[in-house]
Amino acid sequence: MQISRREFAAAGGMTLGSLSVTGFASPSGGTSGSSPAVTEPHVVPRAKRVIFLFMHGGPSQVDTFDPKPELDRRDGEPLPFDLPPNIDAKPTLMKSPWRFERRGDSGLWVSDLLPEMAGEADSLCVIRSMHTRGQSHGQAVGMVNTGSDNLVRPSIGAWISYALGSGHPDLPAHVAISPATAHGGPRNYGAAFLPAMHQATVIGRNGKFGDGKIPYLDGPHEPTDADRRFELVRQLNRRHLERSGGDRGIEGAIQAVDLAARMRHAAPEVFDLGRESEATRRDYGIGEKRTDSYGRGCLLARRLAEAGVRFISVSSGQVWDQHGNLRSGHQKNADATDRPIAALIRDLKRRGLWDDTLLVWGGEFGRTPVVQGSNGRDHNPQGFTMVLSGGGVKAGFAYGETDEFGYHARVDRVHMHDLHATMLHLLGVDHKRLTYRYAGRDFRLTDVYGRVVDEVIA
Amino acid sequence: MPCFSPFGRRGKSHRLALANLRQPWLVVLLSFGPQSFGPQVVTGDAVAATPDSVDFFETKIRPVLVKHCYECHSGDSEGISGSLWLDSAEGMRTGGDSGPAVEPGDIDGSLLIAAIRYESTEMPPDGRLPDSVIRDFEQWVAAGAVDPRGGTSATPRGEADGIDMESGREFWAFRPIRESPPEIASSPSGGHAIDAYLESARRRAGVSAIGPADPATRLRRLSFDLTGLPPNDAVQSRWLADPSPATWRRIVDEMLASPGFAEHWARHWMDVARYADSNGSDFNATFHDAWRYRDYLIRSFASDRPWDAMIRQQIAGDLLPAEDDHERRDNLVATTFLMLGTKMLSERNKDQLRMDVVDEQVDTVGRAFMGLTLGCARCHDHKFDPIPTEDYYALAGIFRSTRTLHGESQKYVSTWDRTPLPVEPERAAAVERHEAELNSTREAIKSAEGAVERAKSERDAKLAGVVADDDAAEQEGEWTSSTYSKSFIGDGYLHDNNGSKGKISLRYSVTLPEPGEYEVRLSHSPGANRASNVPVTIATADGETRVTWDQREATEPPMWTSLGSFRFDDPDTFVVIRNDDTDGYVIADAVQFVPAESKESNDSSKETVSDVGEDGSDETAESRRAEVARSIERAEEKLKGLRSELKRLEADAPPPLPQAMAVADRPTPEIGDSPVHIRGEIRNLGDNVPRGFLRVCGEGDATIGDSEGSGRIELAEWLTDPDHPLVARVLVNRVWMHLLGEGIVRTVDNFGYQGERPSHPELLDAMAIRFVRGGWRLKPLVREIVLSEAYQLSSRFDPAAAEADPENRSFWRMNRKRLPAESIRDAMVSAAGGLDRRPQFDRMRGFGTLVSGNSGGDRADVNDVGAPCRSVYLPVVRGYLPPMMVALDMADPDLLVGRRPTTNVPGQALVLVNSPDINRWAEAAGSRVFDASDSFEGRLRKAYRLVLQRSPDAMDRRIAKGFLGDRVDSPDAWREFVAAMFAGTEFRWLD
Repeated sequence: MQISRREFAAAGGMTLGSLSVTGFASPSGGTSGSSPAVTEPHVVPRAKRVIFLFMHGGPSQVDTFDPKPELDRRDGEPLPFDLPPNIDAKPTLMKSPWRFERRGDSGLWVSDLLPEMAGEADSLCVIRSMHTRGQSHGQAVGMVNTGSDNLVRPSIGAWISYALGSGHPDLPAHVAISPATAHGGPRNYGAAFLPAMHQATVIGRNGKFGDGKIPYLDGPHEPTDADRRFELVRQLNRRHLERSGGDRGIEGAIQAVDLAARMRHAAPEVFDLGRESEATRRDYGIGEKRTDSYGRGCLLARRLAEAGVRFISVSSGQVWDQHGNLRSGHQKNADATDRPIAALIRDLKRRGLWDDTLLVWGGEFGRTPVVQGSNGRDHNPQGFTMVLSGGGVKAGFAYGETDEFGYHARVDRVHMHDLHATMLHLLGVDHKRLTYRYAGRDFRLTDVYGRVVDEVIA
Repeated sequence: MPCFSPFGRRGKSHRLALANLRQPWLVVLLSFGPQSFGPQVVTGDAVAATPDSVDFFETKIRPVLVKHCYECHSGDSEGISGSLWLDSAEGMRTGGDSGPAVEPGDIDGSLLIAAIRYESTEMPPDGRLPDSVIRDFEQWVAAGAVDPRGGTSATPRGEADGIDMESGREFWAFRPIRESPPEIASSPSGGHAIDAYLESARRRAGVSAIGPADPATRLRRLSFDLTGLPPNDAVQSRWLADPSPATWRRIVDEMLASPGFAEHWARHWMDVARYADSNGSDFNATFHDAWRYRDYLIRSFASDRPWDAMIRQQIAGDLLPAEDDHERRDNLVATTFLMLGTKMLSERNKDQLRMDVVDEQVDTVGRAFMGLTLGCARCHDHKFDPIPTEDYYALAGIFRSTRTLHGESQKYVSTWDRTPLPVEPERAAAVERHEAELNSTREAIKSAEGAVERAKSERDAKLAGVVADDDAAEQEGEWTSSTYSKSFIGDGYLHDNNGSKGKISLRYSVTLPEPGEYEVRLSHSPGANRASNVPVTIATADGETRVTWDQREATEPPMWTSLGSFRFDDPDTFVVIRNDDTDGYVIADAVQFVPAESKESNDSSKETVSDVGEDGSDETAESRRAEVARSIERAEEKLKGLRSELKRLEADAPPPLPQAMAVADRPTPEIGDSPVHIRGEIRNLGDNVPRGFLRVCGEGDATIGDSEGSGRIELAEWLTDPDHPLVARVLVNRVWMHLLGEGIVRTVDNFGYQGERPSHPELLDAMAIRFVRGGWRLKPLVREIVLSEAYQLSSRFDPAAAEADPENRSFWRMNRKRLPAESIRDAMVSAAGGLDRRPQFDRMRGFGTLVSGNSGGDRADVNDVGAPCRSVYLPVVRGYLPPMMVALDMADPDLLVGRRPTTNVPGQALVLVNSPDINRWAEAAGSRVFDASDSFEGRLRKAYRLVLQRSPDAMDRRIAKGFLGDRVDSPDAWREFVAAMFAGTEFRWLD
């Protein structure tokens, strides 16, 4: 019994998988297969996919993209206003150990901590006025990944998968590379109450790239045995379908087996970093101890983006949390991520993908301009920096301001909900119209909040 | 948390904040500016305007309102923030959720002033207005807030109506449960009430039932539905030999009485109870005692404990009277139900956390027992159901008065109390006795270790050089003698009590056997409170030499510190320890002089040393050495004995005293009604709402009268009142859904307006009435349903019937059901021949506070999915769910799951084909198949019976032959065949 994919998708009561083909606008813009939730873009899409470079732990804004001369001048002096509640830092200002400089033609400020990203400054769109909810990692990580600091909600990748489907017939729409198991773990790339197919396929964990493979793609048997097995499963399923007199659930399962078999053949090629030139691999820092893992993550992200995957996160692991030893800790993290990220930007540009790929760089919050212990910084959801690049945003541009010390976002404040609204907008989706009915309510990624930050859109 | 609806009823009585702190400020500019009010603007000299004039308002106040406020607070704005309208005088004075914005004449009483001063809420949110503007507003209010604006404020739009409870009660789910007989007296074949109701409806729909399924299919269905396991060989044989209604009834009763029934149906309720063995979320704390709740459920389902009793126990067990300890334990453990939700334990704002926990509990109780989505009413009146936000806070007050979390496991991270469970006095006494024994043995070990150490030190000291102990030294001033620290030479040591600095000293006089070079060593018990700068004077050949001694550490642990080697010309010498200007306790124990050459030699026999005061003869030294060796031996033997005693004690430990993860009422002063949290905000409080229930579910004001406690007892009583319109319907519907594949109300967790309507309301009510009258017992209800014809119908598709009723709402056929993940796994382990049917208990024992660290450390081994026990006993560790079970749609423990989703994802197929565990089970099952017979036919029959509980037909035979080809006698080929059957649809679906 052969049914077309359209019929298949039209059959109710089934979903197609965290490794799914229900999706649909192909990278070239055409559609194949069944309908994603957003069939007609709500607004003109500027990007087709998102790569989220998650700097888990919270990199410091005043040491990266938000220079504060006043902080330098008043190093060691008391903070002239009260600290927010529930914080362990001392109210004593601490200047950045890194030097800031204007970069590129745009003159965007970037510190010496990130020399490689600084080299791509003219491609960056820096939002210096981010703020979010959650003084602890758990809440803030939930905010950046799911839009909720305390309740179980679908992740942004799941929402995007739900909205747009996958752009590749045999690959999932949503992939999480080396996500942390802490701070909610799977919740941060999960589907919650959205259909399970929208949860991420996970590669590696905790900032480690691992073997870089889709789990269970291979079994403990020879590939030829696997093909034979899949064929037998198909026959048994078709037999079951005949006996049943027809059943959508069984039909769906049969399709799923076919897809699994196809994916077994399609995925290895996409996931094979060995197909890249030695020069490209070198550019990402693959083969060098410090950059190898994150470099592989970024390169795989590019290959997945190219293949049509909609949302790819590449997590640094929970490493940016320098309550002490800011200088050595941040330096180590920058050494691991800076070069692969710059390489990713250049690579996307070379391949013509940068224009419709939205890169988002940042942590769950920033860090205090005041000192914790003798040489660290505490969590700072009150004001921090996130950086966008590519897909429809201004380049060589900075938006928003924190106060003179870089503590509170003051001018043109951008809440995490606003960033989410903007990300969806760039993908052609109105965050107010992307809803899912669960437990009697229509839920949104942005809850009842969110404002598209038009000012950063090119 | 606020929620979103596309059907927002603007103007309905939203109780919104003057300013929502979480609301981002929209900065889209308005299409009109002050000039829109041109006709009213007086273009005169603004400077001349006095604060009580219209001019003042028009020049100083109105433009600011228009520019900074109207966007969110006018009739033209998209959503009215805080339901506050600032575009009319009336709107301003009536105010929003927090009260009037302006009190003419009262600057400090005007919320608007507080807001623009950034004293309360900070308005406008995109930046504080200039001080001069704020002064204008203050003057304006002080002068009476003259406001010429007319127009109808939008405020009254919402004020008047609220929710009409009377019409709300007309909705089917809130109407009383009532009996109405089926239109036809009985089903065609005569008998069952369920079938009579269904047949009546089928006739109306113009469809007829498809007829019964074949016997093998029916038995497989029954067995999995009742026990979660395939029917065993004996039952299969018995049934197929005589597939009669009498045999069916007997098998039904056997299965209802089997432990498998309790395990399987407990798992159904665990889905609703969001059961887990860890907290998940940001701080994955181990729920060490959650298993007791699972165990309680399994025992309750086994004994068919009435559901009303179970509801009372789960809501208020801790407050219920108990006849005995056994009942008291169950009562406490049952309340774990309220504790199982995943919580943001590290939320630093504990008021926020408290209300989030309350919300989770209200929402869970609402959906689990009543099928109502009460969470919607946290921030505003329910948009669809007649549940005003006051009703939500009536319930919230009950749980707010209940202690769920208490204390912190580390800074900022909340934890909960472990509630001791009652035990027999003998058991408590045994534990106490055991602990006392443990403690005294540990003490004895400590002192025996001290004795060994001392004996060894004595040996070290005595076997080399010359030793002078503190008791032979000359004291100046008063030293304190002690044996507190266990490392010392002789009978004890001296210390200065960290006082008398500079006033006391100790002089050791020593006679060396001959002049020469000696190393000077001092013994003491090191420690952080010791002095680091003890002045020591040694009379050497170079005169009196000052050395500083750091007593915080020993250079030769545990107790010796070398001060260095010195030359001594005069055999009579001395050492003085002082405490001048020392920065801690000064200890004085023994002084030892070791000849420089002997220090290098391990063989002490040729040394020419002796103790002070001894004659130095070799025999004496020899015999002393032997004596010391004996005393070391004795001490070590004693220590060894004690240590093995401790081991024995630890091994013989009585089981630890049981604790429950139970709630409790808060202490009386913390019990009370909850205010409405406007928009769910913890800082934005409205009026207190008397604790109580949902008004729509009955007549009266639904408040709790004078309750001493939280009100959970009253809530439990209210829920289990036979007249409650929802609870019995919801429970019966859940059971029907598990057996028939779809509920009579298909949205099993939502009986509200947004849920589906019942396909057979009369049948639902009839079953609910029988259920309540029969004592809220599950087994008779299940029995009633599985004995019906409807349950035994074939699931075969029929084009004609499907034409009339494509969704099978009339139950013209059986719905084909996907097995739950647990049954799929259990059936595979069972086919492999290795299912361990023993119940499991505290599988989380041995886990720490956190089941997994937040540092990124892995505990990937926590799930143990390869273990041979039934799946219901596998730990459910949030964040570490077994990928195999997740792929097969196990319930997500982060959510209340009344009806599991059924997915067909490629990932599922990949897991089924490639999982090493499944392959292992398939190999074992394949070997059993291969060994069962020597013939193809025998093996095939065995395979089908083992995996699908039916006989193969000709088509099946052809497929198998095609696959096996010439490998009919290869065990590997049969294993592959069984593996494919495991991955096939027929295995995981119930026809």
